[in-house]
Amino acid sequence: MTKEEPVVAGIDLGSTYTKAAVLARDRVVGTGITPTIVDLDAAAADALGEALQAAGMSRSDLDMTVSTGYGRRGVDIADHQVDEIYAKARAAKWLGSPWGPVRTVIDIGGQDSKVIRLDEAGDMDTFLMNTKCAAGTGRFLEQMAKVLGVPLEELGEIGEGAEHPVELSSTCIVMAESEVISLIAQRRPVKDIVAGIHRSVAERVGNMVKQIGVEEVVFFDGGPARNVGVKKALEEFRGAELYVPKNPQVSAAIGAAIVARDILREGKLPDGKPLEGIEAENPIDHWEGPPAGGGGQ
Amino acid sequence: MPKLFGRKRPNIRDAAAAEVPDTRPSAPRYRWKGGEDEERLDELSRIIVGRAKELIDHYQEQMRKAPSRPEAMAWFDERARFLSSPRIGEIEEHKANGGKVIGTMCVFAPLELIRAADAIPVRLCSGLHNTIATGEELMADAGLCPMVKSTLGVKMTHASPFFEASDAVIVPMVCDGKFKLGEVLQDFMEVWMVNVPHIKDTQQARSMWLDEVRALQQQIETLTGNRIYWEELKREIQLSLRAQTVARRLYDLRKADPPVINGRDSLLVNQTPHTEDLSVWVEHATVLAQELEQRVRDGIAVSDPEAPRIMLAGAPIMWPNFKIPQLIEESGGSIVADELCSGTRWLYDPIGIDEWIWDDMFQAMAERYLQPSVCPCFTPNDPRIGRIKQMIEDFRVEGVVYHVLRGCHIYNGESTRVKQSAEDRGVPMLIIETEYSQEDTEQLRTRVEAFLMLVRARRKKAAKAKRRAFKTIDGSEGGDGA
Ligand code: SF4
Ligand code: SF4
Repeated sequence: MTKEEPVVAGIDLGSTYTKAAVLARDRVVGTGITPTIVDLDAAAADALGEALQAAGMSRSDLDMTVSTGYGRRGVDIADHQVDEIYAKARAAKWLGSPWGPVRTVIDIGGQDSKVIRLDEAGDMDTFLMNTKCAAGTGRFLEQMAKVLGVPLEELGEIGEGAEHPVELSSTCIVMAESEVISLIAQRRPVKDIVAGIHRSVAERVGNMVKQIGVEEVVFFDGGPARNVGVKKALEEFRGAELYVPKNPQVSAAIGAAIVARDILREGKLPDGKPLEGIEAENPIDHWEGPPAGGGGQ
Repeated sequence: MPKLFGRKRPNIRDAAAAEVPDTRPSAPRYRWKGGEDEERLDELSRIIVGRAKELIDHYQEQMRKAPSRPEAMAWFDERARFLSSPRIGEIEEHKANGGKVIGTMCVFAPLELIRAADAIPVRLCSGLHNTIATGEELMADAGLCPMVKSTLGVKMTHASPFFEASDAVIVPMVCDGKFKLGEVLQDFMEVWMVNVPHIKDTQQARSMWLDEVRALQQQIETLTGNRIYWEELKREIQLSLRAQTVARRLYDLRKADPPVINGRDSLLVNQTPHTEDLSVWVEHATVLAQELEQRVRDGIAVSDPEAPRIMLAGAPIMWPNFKIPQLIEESGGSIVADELCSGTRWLYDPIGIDEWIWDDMFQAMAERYLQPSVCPCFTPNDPRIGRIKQMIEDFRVEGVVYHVLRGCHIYNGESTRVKQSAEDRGVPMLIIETEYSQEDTEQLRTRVEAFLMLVRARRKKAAKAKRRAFKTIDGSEGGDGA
């Protein structure tokens, strides 16, 4: 256990962006974002470098670094790894909301979407993740924006004030694409099409929320959280107001940093193993050694 | 039915062939064009076998990493080596001596009858991924369960020596996939379809099932040329009982805390009888059981003693496709129980014989395949849920991982109810929907790791609650929770 608050970092290696956050004195003192490239170590170093620079610190100031995201197992600069569902849950508890403690986390990511429910103490109680398909993910929005020829960032505003939102019958990205194209050919207003797209995403995610049961406060996270259209559609669909954190993109990185802090505070890894002696290894696999080739081939 | 005691069996081929009607189908009606390109098939088969070897190497290497793996696993490892398993030579020899091999699928073929006619039963349900593309040439349904397509592909490419050795295959009509599979397979080999009633505990179902098994007996006798008599049936039922007894012992040993055997090893042990000589399996399983019992006495854990205790439920997981169990155990979980039809399900409810007379024996043997079975092809299937609940209790399960093969609607359809009943006991359940390919491994890893975190968090919470309760009763500090 350290007496002073440690300086910790979290790195989230997502499919499109690598994000980093540095925490000191229980505050986020710097963040960094960079596109994920094939060389994961370089991407991690870049994002972390940016975050450290913003904090006015250097790597030697860091007491511990934890990585998360799909690429978490591929980087050397992290001391430990944690899955991003757990990282998100930790971040949501720590970041909280102005409306009270967070009980439900809705996270729409680039490749997947997840819903996490927290218990009264703010610990992860249960979670649900979409199946292996791009429906209801950021990817879906991205692709639809491309088909419509509008910038992704503007998608949210474009859909506002739609009077007759279209109904997309397909959730599959490929099918929805041709559906949208035929809607354009029918000269349906872009506004209505966009609103329909938002609705489709909201329905997909909303159904997951329904399965888990929504409890307020609902924390809405991930890139598409910045899209007002999706947010509104989801609010309509679920009947609950969503709280969007200030910087939804880096919350997993913040969560990973919190996990690093937890580890130092408790002297234990997230899976309950003591910290000493096994530091160099993957905490998850410490009894088997790191699996060769990452399990899949 | 004649009951001959200790008489030397006459060969019905020469003697009374006319007594047994030949029910085999005639020549194939449809031809698969691809089957005529032998060069391509050879190439495909080479690739498939090579890949199977890679997978076997990979998973066996991972399984050997357990800090203290039971020594008795060596025999099972050797037998699980597919093409280089000594079993293939044994089967070839059996065939050279005029013996027959009968393929089976699922858990409904009356193995005692097959063995009693001196034939070798082999379970052909396949776990290979790269035969699916070939299977799709004849069953192009993208939403069809991968096990069905993979099994078909194995036959089409002649990749498995067990399949090739089979003179006939018994296909139960359990789900859409299996029964159309049987139809397509008929163009490649002799197929015996078996009508499995979906409502099983009525009088009609019972008598229909008995008739089905009787028909199978005839087919087996016709194929092998061997009549099945009282003596042989009794011998084989007794062998099955011995096997179930030792399998039960192994099953009970998994209740040990800390675990003395890994879930993957256990699954492999339960799958070895799919192709092995059951009496030899009994010997080796007994050695394993003895070793594990010693471990329980010495308190030797096979891996991390604190690992979350996970139960694997749902659709079959077939060697060498151990993606899911490998993922769970390499992420730090310990699979202490399974209810898979490719795992412990075959040993539920041993054959109960009151009197060793033919009718009783035959009926008990046949019913054993139907009544205790909790495959989701039956309705209502509350016994399955009851069984899972019981296992959660018996094995001190802390989390259930429910495996759904994409396209297996009957398993998927039961998942919500299973989840609810697990949650009712405070045990979380993770549903994993996947196929045979490895490409989703990393996505699944995220879910599995998060799920294990959740299980650990619940354990901590439960310990805290216990401490608190202890404190209020006792006024003292209470013990330390796990
Ligand atoms: S669960 Fe399905 S695949 Fe397994 S034995 Fe039963 S019917 Fe067959
Ligand atoms: S896994 Fe399901 S769909 Fe596939 S064969 Fe077995 S019961 Fe049928």
